[in-house]
Amino acid sequence: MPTLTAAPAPLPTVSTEPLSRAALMLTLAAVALCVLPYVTRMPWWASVVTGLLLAYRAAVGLGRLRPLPAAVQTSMLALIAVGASLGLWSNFGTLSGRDGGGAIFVMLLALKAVETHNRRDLYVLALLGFFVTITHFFFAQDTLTAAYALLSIAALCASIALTERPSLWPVRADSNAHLGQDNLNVRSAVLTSAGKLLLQALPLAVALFVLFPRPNGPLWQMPVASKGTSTSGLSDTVNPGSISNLATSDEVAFRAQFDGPTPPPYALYWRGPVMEQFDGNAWRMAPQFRVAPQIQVSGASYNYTLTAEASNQSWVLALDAPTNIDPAAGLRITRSMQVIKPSLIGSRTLFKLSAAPNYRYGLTEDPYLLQYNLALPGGNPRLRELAQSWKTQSPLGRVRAGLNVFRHGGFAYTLKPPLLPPTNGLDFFVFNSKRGFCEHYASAFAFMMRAAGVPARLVTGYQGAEANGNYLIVRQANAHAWTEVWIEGEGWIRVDPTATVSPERIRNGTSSLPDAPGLAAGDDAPFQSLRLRIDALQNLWNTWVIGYDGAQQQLLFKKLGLGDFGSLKLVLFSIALIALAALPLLLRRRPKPEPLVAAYHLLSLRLRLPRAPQESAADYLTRAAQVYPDQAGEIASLIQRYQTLRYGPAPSETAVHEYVSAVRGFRLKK
Amino acid sequence: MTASPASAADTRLLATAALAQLDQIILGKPQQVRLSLACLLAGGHLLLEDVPGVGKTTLAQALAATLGLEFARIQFTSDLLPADLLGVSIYEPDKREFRFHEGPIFTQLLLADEVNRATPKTQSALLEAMEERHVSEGGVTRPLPAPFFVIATQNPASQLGTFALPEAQLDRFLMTVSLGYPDPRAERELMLTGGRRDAVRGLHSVLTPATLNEIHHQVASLHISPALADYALALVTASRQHSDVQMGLSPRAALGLLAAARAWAWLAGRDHVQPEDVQAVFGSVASHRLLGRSSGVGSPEVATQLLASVPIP
Repeated sequence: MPTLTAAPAPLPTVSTEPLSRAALMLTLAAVALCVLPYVTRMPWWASVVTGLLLAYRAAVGLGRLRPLPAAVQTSMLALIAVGASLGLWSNFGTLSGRDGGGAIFVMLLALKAVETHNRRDLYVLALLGFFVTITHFFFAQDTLTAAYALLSIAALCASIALTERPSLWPVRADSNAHLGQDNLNVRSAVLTSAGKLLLQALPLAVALFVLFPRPNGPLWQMPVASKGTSTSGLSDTVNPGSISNLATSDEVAFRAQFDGPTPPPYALYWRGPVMEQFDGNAWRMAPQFRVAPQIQVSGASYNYTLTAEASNQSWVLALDAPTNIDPAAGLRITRSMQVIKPSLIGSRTLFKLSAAPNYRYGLTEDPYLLQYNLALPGGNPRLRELAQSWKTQSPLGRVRAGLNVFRHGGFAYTLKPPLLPPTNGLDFFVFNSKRGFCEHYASAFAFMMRAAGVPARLVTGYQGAEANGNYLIVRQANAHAWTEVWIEGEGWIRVDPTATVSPERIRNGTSSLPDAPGLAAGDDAPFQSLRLRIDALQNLWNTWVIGYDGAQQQLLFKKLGLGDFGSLKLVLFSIALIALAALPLLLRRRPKPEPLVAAYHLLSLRLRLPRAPQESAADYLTRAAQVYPDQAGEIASLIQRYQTLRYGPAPSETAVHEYVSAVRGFRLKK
Repeated sequence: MTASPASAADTRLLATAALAQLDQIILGKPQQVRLSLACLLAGGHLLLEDVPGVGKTTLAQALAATLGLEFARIQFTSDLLPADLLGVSIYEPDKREFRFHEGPIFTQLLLADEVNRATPKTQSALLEAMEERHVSEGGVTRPLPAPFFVIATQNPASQLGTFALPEAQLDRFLMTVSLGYPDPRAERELMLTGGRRDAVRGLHSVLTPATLNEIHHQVASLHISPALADYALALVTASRQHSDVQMGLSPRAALGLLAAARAWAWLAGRDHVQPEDVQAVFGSVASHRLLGRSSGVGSPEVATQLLASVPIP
């Protein structure tokens, strides 16, 4: 039997109501969904502990497991917290930053989940889940992450909806016959509620995203993964002889979107590292001098946006020849016309660039540097002898002679060349195997040119692109190597010896060999078009979501016909818009409290004794009489009058007025 | 005692006297006695849930004597048949017809002792009679005397050989009251003055069925304000959303809650019901209807939790 003695009950507030089991389970599931991607970012034991903590709370919530005694549980949680901090510290070397901070945050979130006792805790848990969802964007910013974040947010919203209104999940008796159907209805009710929440938030989110003033560049620098994960791409060494099977991948290296028309495929040489040091086998980059190259542009120049994927390198693969470098992004250009970003590209980054395909550069090159580009170590005597025999010709004639070696020598382009011997490898390639890919040809050609007395160097980068709608996709398979020779009065000239062997590779801009990834090939056409469509979506995302900066914002306003929108105007406009969104909240009508109820509330204020909404008048009177024994009679009369007026037969207005003035006249004695 | 209708003040005086008389029989349990009387004044059936020997039968007998009701007691056993309870038609050869012999249920206050020992068939016969207030036998419907109350007892401790009342049947009882062990002082007095069975026999009636009828009318006409109805509604709704309850309170339970609160308010001498009245009877009205999801039995904790969490409008 319930206790019937009128002991004043403790004063529970709404937030400390007992937990709805369904809400707890849904919140735990949503939080688990939010932290799931951290499994790949934390040490394995941290994932296991996080999972166990969440599972423990769920099992206790379901009544499958007896909760540990409070003292034991608290000390265990404290131990886990300390252990996790130490473990993560030793793993990451720090507990802040993206990796260490994220991991410790996830573990503390799991600890908090164990200490979930009331509704307020559930809200806290869901809010922490939202924070974890944001942190995913520190690791990747692609559409997949966004979709996952949306899913997490939907789950969190559903859990909040259920916490707020447990009636969405009505408690049923054991009427198993209809349970399945009911569960379905319940689920759809919860999801509908969450969907409504999200849809209501959408206009405000879009308005904030589009209108909020943006700086011309990223707000913060994305950190590079603390433990080096090798990303395929270009390297700073080229040793053609050591590769017998060039693994080509269709992974995207970068995308480029031109403001106007796209340059023809044969002009699409994206410049990467320039190799000037040759040791007989491998080409290496020379020390770079940040001396601006002298570029003479003739003809049209193209403005374009380059969206580089994470490469953990600092090279920006600009189209030859880069003319206008975005100073805001902090880009530099080197003497050999490479565009360099001072920091590594750790995540997808956008660059605004322009290029002029018709150019001349390096007309007055430093003789010391030219000497550097003539340096040749020993080895490869046959090739050297052949090249030295051209010395009587003009420099251009020597170049032509070098190309003729490949054109008429029965050479073939292949991605699976035989290995070259460690000594005199180029001799073996030119006179024996005659099979190789771009790096072989560029390397052998540069060797011949240097032997013939023409300054020459190897340029690596990408060549060609795949057009998809109005932008170009450049994949790792487009990686290429070519040669530059220096000729008096002409400067550095690009010579691509691969073109003489496999002209279609250059003309099409992609490899047309059967063993190369069939990117533009006709087979798998439906699959291919789907992939291109997905890539188009990704590009749209890159341009309009990730790359949405101040410039892009102005561009959008211009497209919308809003003209030039100043920052101040923009701020005012966004404030007005957000205020407009908040208007329904401000205008929401609250029922006016009845005068009686208001007077009763006033009484509690006068008594300086807050009243819980659940507290009965009798209990409240008991409390008040204990605090103010002198005025107990007066208080009792006021409270009893309230009870009679409120619950008795409908009172007259004068009676209510009298009561209100009686309460107003009430004063505590000092 | 007069059988004529009396004013509210008079009847209340009589009820107070009845309470005082009952308190002399059941020592140290004024709340429980008051609840039991309120239950009968609200016209509801009462379920006494307790271990043996704490005075359930005595309370029932004292109530019958004090209220001036015709009393019958039937001990429920597992071989009790519906006919043993309701009565049976027996063929009389000399008259060449069936004559109905009324069972013990044809009384004004029936004490159904250990109701959970009988088979479900017999239980449902009783519970049907409780709800319909008539007995159908042999195609003839026979009304039960008015007023008609059932005080059933059940022993929660011994579950062996019992048939637990299903939720639907528990719902027919307006209230459950447990007496519990008396406090030491009351028990000492009990030992000194001897058992209460003899004292019950010596009781004279304070009320009559006619007065009781009048009280029923007065109780039913007590004012319920919209704010109070909101409170009862909030309690009922909260019970349906409680996570540890198989099934929330039914609309019948909600009406019963208000009826019991009215009787309580009437006993307190008010012409309207206040939230305190609802709170006073809520535990008794709700706890046997709110079966725990895991335990499967009614628990007073849930009712206490509900009272502690539902705001009073």
